[in-house]
Amino acid sequence: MTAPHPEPTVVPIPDNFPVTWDDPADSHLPLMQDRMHAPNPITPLSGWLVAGHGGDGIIAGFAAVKQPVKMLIRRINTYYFNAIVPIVPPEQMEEAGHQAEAAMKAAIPTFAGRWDSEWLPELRGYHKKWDAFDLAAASTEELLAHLDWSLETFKRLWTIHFEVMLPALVAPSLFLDLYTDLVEGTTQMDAYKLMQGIDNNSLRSGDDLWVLSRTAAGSDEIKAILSNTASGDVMAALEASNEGKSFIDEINGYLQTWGNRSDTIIELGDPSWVEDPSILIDNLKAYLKGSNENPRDKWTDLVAERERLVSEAQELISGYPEPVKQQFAGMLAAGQAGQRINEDHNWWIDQQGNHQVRHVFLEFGNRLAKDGVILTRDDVFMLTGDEIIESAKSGFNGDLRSVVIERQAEMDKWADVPAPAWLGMDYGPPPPNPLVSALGRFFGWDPVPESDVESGILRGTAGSAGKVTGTARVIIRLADAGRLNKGDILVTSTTSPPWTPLFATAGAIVTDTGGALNHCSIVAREYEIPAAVGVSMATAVIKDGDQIEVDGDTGTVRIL
Amino acid sequence: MHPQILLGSLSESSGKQRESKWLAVTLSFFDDPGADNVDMFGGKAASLAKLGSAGRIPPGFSLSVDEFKKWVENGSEEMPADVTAEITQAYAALERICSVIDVPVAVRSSAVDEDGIGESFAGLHDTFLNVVGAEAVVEAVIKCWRSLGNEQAIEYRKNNGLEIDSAAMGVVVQQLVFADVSAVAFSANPVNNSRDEVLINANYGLGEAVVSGLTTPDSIVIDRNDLSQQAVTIGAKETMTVRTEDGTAEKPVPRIMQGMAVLTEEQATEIAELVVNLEIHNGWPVDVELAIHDSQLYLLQCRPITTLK
Repeated sequence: MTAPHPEPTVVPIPDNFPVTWDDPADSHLPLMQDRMHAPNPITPLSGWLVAGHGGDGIIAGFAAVKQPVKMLIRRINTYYFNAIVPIVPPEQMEEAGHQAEAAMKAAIPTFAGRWDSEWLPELRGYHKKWDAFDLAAASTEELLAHLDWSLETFKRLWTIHFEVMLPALVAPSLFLDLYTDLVEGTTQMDAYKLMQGIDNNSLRSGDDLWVLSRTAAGSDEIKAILSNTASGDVMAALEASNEGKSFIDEINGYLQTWGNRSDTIIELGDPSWVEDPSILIDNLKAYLKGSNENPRDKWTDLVAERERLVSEAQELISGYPEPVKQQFAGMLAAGQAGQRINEDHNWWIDQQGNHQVRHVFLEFGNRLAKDGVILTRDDVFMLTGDEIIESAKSGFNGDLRSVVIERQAEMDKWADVPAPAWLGMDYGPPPPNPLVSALGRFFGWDPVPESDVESGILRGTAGSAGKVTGTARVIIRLADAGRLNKGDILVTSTTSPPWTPLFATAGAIVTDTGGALNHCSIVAREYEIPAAVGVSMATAVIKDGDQIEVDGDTGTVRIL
Repeated sequence: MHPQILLGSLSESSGKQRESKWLAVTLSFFDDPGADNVDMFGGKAASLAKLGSAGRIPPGFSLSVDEFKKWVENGSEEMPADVTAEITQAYAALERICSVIDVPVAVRSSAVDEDGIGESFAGLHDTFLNVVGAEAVVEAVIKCWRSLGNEQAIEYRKNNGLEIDSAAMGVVVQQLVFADVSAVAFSANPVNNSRDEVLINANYGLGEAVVSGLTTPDSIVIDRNDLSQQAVTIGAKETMTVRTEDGTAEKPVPRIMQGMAVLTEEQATEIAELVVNLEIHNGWPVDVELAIHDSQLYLLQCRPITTLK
């Protein structure tokens, strides 16, 4: 029996955010501003790519796991929105739901194996091809063909993204339910402890950075340069020093491995670390200011605690029916793999995928700027892909300078207007099912107790256990991360995996967005620092320099 | 008088290599000749002995009604030494048969007037699950004997016009199959009295949660003619019976498993086939308790359906 569909209501549009719908049908979508993935305005080219080729890939990814819904991406007033909408009529939803659950059940035991043996090699192949392509040497025709391949591949990346990530989110989410049902008196936070101590690329990139910082710490010359030079001047100062020169080789080695990433994961306009190592330099500076203790020294304790808790749970259910024991073992393994792949997919798809396509477009930017179609290379991000392709096909003809100015003005205009959390139509809460529950824990949809701003008490979701008091550092862009001192509490809208090194410096993390199943919470647990996530008013209410107390077990922040 | 089975000859015929100094104690393994004698061993024991040919049943033995009678006549609360010794020896033989040291067993009462066609004593007398070791088995047997006076059982006898004083009690000691899945199956549907439908109720874990009606099991209706599934209703399965160190316990079924079907279609078909065959074999519609362990289907009990109209 399906419950009668609640009457959809129009979400009121705030006065300061008037919307002109590109397609009037979009006004019927349940559009969520995905602040967790893109809290800031995104450039037109990023919007064109993510809504177009990215969006096509996402739809194919949902279909690959036989979900009766699709996710649509829209850029509205420069902000990134998504909408999850059904693809079957309401009367077929129940049957489609059963099929979706069966497909998910089949995907849960297999996604990790497919990631390791099938999808990861496929992705490596794409990146190898991207890396090998000589952009500067390509003819216009070759460059256009390469763009065409890049866009198709980008679509494929996003199909893999959702085919692997839907089960990779549902599995740990189901494990939370299973564990707390089986082991009386436990919470979800306890259940996460059985999925901790699992290595991933976010942690490995942090480890390598730590190793780099130890080289710097071992040389008074390098230490002095890093401590006394502004981030932007560090590379030049190193170049001028004997020990600094060899350290540059090490930095380049690090960037070769981990440099294909930028501040954000949706925006194409942000430079990758290989182009601008200042974020890396800032992190090194912070590591030198902090303690000499490797942030991962205690990590083996997490592994030991995990194994102890797993054994205890297995012992507890040793007299339970075999199907229950199998369910526990299977969901634990899939949940652990899900936590790992939650980080690793982001490195191979979100971060490096963006980096690769950015560099293809930068080459178009070079040629457009050279022929005067736009003023500077980076103006290319103010165009759509269609405009770029059209100009290139005509031999880089035309004049898009005024278009760029217009769109830059639009970006500037909206930058200071906070986007509403929801737009379009409200169809009421989605029907309860494992996917909705997992997405809720990822995005932080579950309702949290109301904040009491006057008393300085802000409430969100428990992300990582522990209680800490410290100085709040409100940091919205990674480029600003140099202000974070050892033990400071990082207060931000969202953290994407490139922010991971900050977790070794921060005493705790507070985010506006997200839930306990997302990147920020996973990595905070691995670094054993408290995290309160989805504290929706955090960056609006907490002032830089405030003394705050973070309770990661309850997701509560107190301004002292 | 009931014929007594001499254990010396029994051990030869059943190959269990038991030797007994107390030839007067009447104890019989299910596959021994004469073990299906209702008057001697009670209804449950006799029906288990008869089942052996119809499907795989967990091995075990029955203690005769006479031992109970002697115990009542002696007026002692304690277990007679010769019975203790005989049970101890039979338990050791069961360990060998099952190839399990300290084999866990179920100890159940088997009253003579129970499980007769027309009346079902299902669950009225005490049952002890997960009993381990000869000493504990002896203790459970004497508790069974005492349970004849159990209030519910007296009430049941009264209501069904059965004599209270004459009631006699055998005891069944049977390997406890740690059921991954337990099922109760009916060769005719007792809900709508249809003789064309097989009804199966199934849940995770040991049988108690299904038999006692503590929880809503999955319910499967199967056409008895072509064995096709007519309806599958996933029950709420609030609880399941699990094994603990010193017995069993009711535990909540994890939420994510409450919505799953307990039986595969193949398992449901196998069960339906079995109960239809049992009905043909017995000549009356059957109410059967089953367990699945390690993918093997075990037959635990077979009774007539007493409520059919």
